[in-house]
Amino acid sequence: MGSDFYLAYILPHAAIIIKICRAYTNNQEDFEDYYQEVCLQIWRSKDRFKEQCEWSTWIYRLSLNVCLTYLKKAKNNHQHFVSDSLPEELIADSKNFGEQSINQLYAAIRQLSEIDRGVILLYLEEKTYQEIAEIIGSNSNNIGVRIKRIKERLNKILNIEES
Amino acid sequence: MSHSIEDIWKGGFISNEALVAPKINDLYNQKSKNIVDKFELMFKWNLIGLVIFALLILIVLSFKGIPYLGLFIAAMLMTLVIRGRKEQASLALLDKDVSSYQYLKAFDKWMKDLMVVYAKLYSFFYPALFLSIVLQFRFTDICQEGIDGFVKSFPDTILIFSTPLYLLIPVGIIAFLLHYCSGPLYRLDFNSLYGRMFEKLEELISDMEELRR
Repeated sequence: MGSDFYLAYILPHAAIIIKICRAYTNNQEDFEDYYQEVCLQIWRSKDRFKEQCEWSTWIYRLSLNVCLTYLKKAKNNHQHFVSDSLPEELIADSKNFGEQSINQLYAAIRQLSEIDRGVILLYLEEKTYQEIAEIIGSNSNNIGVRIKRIKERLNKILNIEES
Repeated sequence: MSHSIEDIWKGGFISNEALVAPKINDLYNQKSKNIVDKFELMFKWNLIGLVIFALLILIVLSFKGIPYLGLFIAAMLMTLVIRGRKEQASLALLDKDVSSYQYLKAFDKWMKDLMVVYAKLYSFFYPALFLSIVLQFRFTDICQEGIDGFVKSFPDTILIFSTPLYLLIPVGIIAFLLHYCSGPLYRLDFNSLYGRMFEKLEELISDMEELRR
């Protein structure tokens, strides 16, 4: 891969890829593999980007599709992230509020089905129901209902009182 | 816990710039672990293997004095290669830049179509291979001596193309069984290799379909 392409088109959106890959992996080694694979597929598919959507939306879509169809290697499941679920260096700005909270949230998200992980990540990234439906391939009415259910489940896992 | 999941998420990623991407080295030369790419690679090597095998068969059987059998088997193998090239081209057209549902459905359809095509090809390939070997053996001196001995022992036996019917019947049955068992055997073989992947794909698609309903 040309490093220019990576620096210009992928790195500015690395946060999207990191957040998605993190939800589909249980340890640092897997995470790096997934991240690498997504970058590779973005490079390979870049000529198919038709500018019908934003580049960032395209990256969300591609990252999700790659994570859903990634072939996992059999790895030691006891090996976790440094801070139980999320490496510290990845959330350098989280000290005040909740490194622990975000780790717990990620751990809870990983308990969801693979599709639900994608849906809730897009929701948390403030994508509209319409955008989520387009990326996932559903309709926006169903997305709303599904998000409600996912949130209920996450709140239960995290022991959050619903307002 | 008193915060909502939205608050936790926002608080956890106050600045996206704070997220540090893993270092990647020589990415373009990395091997892909994506299902589609794995299949593409597997196909490429399968086809190369078939071409090499076809050439070897042709050379070896020519040296053994049975070039026509070699030519026939090589031609059949090349048929598999040509069909494989066509499938390879259709796989390369799978677009990752579509919705997750469309992408998974397209790949699932490709896999199922591939299984049907190859099961059909093998259901003809194996019986044809078996019959060509039998036919070649029929014209050997050993076989002729055996048939002569058989005809002497059973003079009233029915002959078809100078071959006793009693010998043709088991050959026909084996060819028939190979025709009907090759497809299921190929599917069994395919599932033993990619069964887990199939299951995962089915689960994802069924989850998606539930979401679409």
